[in-house]
Amino acid sequence: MIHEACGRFERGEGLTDAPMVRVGVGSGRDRVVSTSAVVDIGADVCAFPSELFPWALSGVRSGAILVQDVWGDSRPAIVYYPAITVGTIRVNGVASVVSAGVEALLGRSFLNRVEVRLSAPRNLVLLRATGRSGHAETT
Amino acid sequence: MVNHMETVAAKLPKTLLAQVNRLIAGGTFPNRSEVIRAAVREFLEASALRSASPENDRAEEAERKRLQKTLRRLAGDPRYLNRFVALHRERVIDSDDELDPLVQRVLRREEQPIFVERVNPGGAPARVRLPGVRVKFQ
Repeated sequence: MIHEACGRFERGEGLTDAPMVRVGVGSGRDRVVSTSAVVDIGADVCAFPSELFPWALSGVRSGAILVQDVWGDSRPAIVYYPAITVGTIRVNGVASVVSAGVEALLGRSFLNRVEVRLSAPRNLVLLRATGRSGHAETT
Repeated sequence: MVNHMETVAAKLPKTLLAQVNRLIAGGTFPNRSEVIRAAVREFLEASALRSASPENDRAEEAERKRLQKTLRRLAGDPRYLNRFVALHRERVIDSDDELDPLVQRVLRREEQPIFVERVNPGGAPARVRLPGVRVKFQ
């Protein structure tokens, strides 16, 4: 069975359009928030601003982590493992940095489990998961 | 030793109480009081972590130091070096060569909190790269 999610390229405040999708981030029963996130194959993991979550995050996490930015600077961060839903694709336990002020990114901790098709000229942002994607499942 | 504890009365839904009883039956906690103390501690810890404050920073820093100390110790153990471990109360409760299967397993466990960490040589912290940066016009 194939599960899909569609997004689009959006301009925002940047120099170029960015591939964006709507993402649901769940950290427990009835605790789901949604946001737009950049599809970023250069990011090791997903990233979400802590301001997105109106409750205290807890549960499984990684606390001995350094996040390295484009300039090579590192700072400590906490990685959580929420369930992420994009379209009809749902993946449990996706490594995600949650930190104040960061931009929402859909990184390779999610993208490595799906097929990614991007075409700015066609305004195409398509994520597709098949049975071989491991943890991907329908919503 | 002086006992500073006070008795408080609290009502819990039956379903929640059944889950508490399962934790005791499974040997995770010795009694209901210990479950409730652990839950309140966890809630207060999580609330402190969420609120941006010097206390929050200190709590995170203390947690990080405890983890790094544990990871340095585990780095000397060939069973865990260059592998992923799940830690609860600074004890290894599971381990794996791969992150994903380990996370999937520990998400089903009832102990809280669980830390999933990579045991690098010397206990060095794992690094994740987030190079994405959006350039804004001023």
